[in-house]
This record gives sequence, structure tokens and C-alpha cells, in this order.
Amino acid sequence: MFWINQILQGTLLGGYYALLAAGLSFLFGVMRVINLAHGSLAVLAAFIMMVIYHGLGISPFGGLALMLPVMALSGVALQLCIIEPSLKSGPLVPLLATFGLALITDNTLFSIFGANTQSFAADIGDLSYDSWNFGSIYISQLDALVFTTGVAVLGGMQLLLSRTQIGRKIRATAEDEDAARLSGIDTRMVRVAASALAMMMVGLAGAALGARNSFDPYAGGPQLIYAFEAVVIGGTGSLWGTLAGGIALGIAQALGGAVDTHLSQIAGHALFLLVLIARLQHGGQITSYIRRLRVRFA
Amino acid sequence: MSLLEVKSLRARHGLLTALHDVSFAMDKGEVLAIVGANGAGKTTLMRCIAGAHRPAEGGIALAGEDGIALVPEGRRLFPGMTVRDTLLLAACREGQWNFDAVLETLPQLRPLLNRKTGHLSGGQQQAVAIGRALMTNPELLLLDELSLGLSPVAVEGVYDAMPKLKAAGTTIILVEQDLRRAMAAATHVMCMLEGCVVLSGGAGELTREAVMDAYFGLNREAA
Repeated sequence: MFWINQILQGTLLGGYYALLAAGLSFLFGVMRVINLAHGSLAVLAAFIMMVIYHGLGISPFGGLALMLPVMALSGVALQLCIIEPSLKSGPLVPLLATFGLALITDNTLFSIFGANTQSFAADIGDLSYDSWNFGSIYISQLDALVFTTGVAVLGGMQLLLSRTQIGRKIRATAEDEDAARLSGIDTRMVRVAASALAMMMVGLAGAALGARNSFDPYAGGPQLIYAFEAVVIGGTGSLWGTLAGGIALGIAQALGGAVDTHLSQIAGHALFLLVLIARLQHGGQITSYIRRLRVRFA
Repeated sequence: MSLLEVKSLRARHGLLTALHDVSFAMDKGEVLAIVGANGAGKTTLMRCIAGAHRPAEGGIALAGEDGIALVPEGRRLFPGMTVRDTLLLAACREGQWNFDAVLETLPQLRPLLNRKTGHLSGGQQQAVAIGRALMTNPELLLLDELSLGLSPVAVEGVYDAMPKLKAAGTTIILVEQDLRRAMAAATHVMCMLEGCVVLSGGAGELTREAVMDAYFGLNREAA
């Protein structure tokens, strides 16, 4: 029962990682850009919620509704001011530009809020510690909410991409931008919309971070690493793969932590490395195996 | 007023002049076939009309606001997208062409709606590319090298749609190497040679021999 509980806790933790990685995966899928400021922007979202709560006295759930449009606007600015100009200079420049943005974001937050760790776990009432008990298995209500949010966000994005006109335009732009223009699509506007959507997902991840963990201005680095690992484990550019990657990372950390507390992080990184090596050495075989499985279960 | 008016158009590729004083006009509902050997300037003319190549001199005037749709050489579809999504993607303007009207004109697409375009044959892909262009409800449809690289059966399937397009009053410019098909499908024919228009007229007025002579520049040599 102990190990089943560990796997369950790892799965719930994986929901947070999937939520965290959703924006990174989406932005990479559409624009082939790895946003190295991803973690720092999630922390920025958490600080925005904190300011809304302490400054305006609005509850964290109300603050979320105010923070998400701010993050969408930051996505528009990110696309127009950083990603678009830097993409003109080659694929490596956006990496450097977003790395620079991460440094600026971290240090600006530090200069405003100092080095103190923050959290709004205490501001969300019983939700931060209440759980459902099933014998010796405990399910945190907050973890369940974050997991459900992660699945809902990824499922919602999948529906948006497959069923709506903006989703079709995003997919067309991701596949072949020149051909998308020939089809009458304003690809610049599509990329701006995709960036705004990605930043709203980052905002949700920041809210989850602030509710379930403590954070400080330099917490963005580890968040970026978790998000990156979830995306790589699950396969780049695939939203359901990102969910699977996040869950695999969470379970690896939970099982590693059950063996030894210090092994928690190492187990996650080890899984990431193993998957990366397997993809590099046996990428073709793995892809064809997954394709065969899809055909079999289609 | 004509739907499309091209006046004294001159276009260059670097130092090479690809079009010399090309002028013609088209009325709504006409189908103009542009024929000519490789290097005659057909594709450059199409690209100028579509706005993809800036002319050195002259002007292009299109009446109406609904614009131009180009079915490019090579089709440029989205291989990971289904036929249904590819058609719906281009539905950006209200007009006579909607999802049902396109499927009526290109019935070969109906059983393929849920298949990805990357898994289709060349002829099926060409039909999807035409359907995608029609879904934008253009004033003018440009079809560049429609039969290039397709099997005779596939070409037949694509050309089956031409009478329906003509009946719907769609204005079309068709660049085609296959003289017989071009003359059968068009209401007007224009033959180009080395960047110049050497022959033009109604498809019913021109004989195949006259077009062939113009195609190979025989009249000019005789003169």
C-alpha cells in the first residue's frame, strides 16, 4: 500500500509539472522557441497574485482572474518585443534573449521584494492542508485541484487546437508558416495569440506554485528545469505527452524520495537523462514503436 | 470595368528581364489559360498578380475587395492536418464557396475528410489545394501548373472540377503545360514566349496549330 500511495502522490505532483510545462511545450510546438524565461515568468505570476492579494485585498482566486489577463498581455509583449525580433537573427538568439529576460525578471523581483520566501498557502484557507482519506491513502485536496487543472488545461488546449478556427491557424502556422500565409492567415497575429495563451498557462502554473510551495525571486530556475524535463520525457511539442512526462517525472521523484529523501530530485533528473539518451540513441525505433501502438489502439 | 487589368507589366529577376510590357484584361467569370515553354515568364506573371513578386514597371488593378487565392506549384499543404481541417482553416470570408459547396465541386474529397493531407496521393492533394483556395471565396483564382507531377488519371480527376468552377462563375487564371487540357478548360488563351505575350484570343477562335506555332516561336522566326 505504501508504494501505491507513493505512486499516487507522484501522479498528483506530476499534474503540477504538466501544468508548469504546458506553456513551454505549447510555445515550442508553435514557434520552435525554447523560452528560458519560462520559470521566472511563472514566479512573476505568483508575485503578481501576491501583490493583488496584499495590495488590493482580493482573494487569491479573485487575484487569479486579474493576473491571467496581465500574463496574456505580457505574452503579447514577449512575442512582439523579444521573440519576434530575435528570431530574425537565427534560432539561437531567442535562447539568449529569453535567458536575458529570465535574469532581468529574477533580479527585478529581488530588488522589489527582497530575498524573503513567500507563499499564499495561508491565504487559501483549508484547501492548503485538507485531504481525503482512504484508509492509509491520503489525497491532498490542493494537489487534486492542481492535477485536475493541469489535465483540464491540456485537454482544453487539445480541444482548442483541434476544434476551433484559431487552433487550426496555430497548427497551420506551426507546420508551415509560408503556406499558412498563402491560406490567408495572418501568421504574425497567430504567433502573438499563441504567446498570450502560453503566458496564461504560465500564470496558472505560477498560481499553483504559490499555493502549494514557497517561492522567492530566484525560484524560476528550478521551475524551468522541471518544466523542461517534463517536456523532454513526454516528447517535445505534444500536449498529452507533456502530461505523461510530468506524471513520469512526479512518480520518479516520489519513488526516489521514498527510498531516500535525498534521492527525490536525483531520481527525476536520472529519468530525464535516461529518456534523453534513449531518444538520442534509439529515437527511430521508439518513434516507430509508439506509432505501431497508436495504430493498434486506434 | 474589367475584374483584372494588367498594364505594361515589366518584371525582373536580378539583371534578367522576365516580363516585357505584358498587358491584358479579364472580365468576371472568364477562365484564362496561360501557356508557354519553360522560362516564358508564366510563373513570374502569376507571382506578380498574387503579390509575391514586385514588378519593375507597370500596374495590376483588381476590382473588388475579396482578393486573390493562389494554388501554388507543389501545393504547399499541411501534411499533419486532415482534409476537413485544411478546408475549414481557409474559411475566412462569406461567399458562394462554403464547405458543402466545395465538396459538391470536388466530390473526391468527401471520403478523405478525416485523412491527413500528407497521406494522400498527388491528385488528391491537388484537389485539397484547390478546395482550400476556393474556401477563401476569392475574386480571382490562380492555378499554377495544375497537372505538374500528376498521373494522367489524377489530372483527369482534378480537371473534372473545371466545368463546375466555370459554371459557378469563378474567374480563373490557369498556367498549364498541357495545351490540349488548357484549351479545353479555358474561355481565353494567352501564349507567352520569352517574357512577351505572343498570341491571345478566345479559346474557340484559336486553333491548336496557331497556339503551337506561337508556343515554339515559329511565327516569329518566319517573320
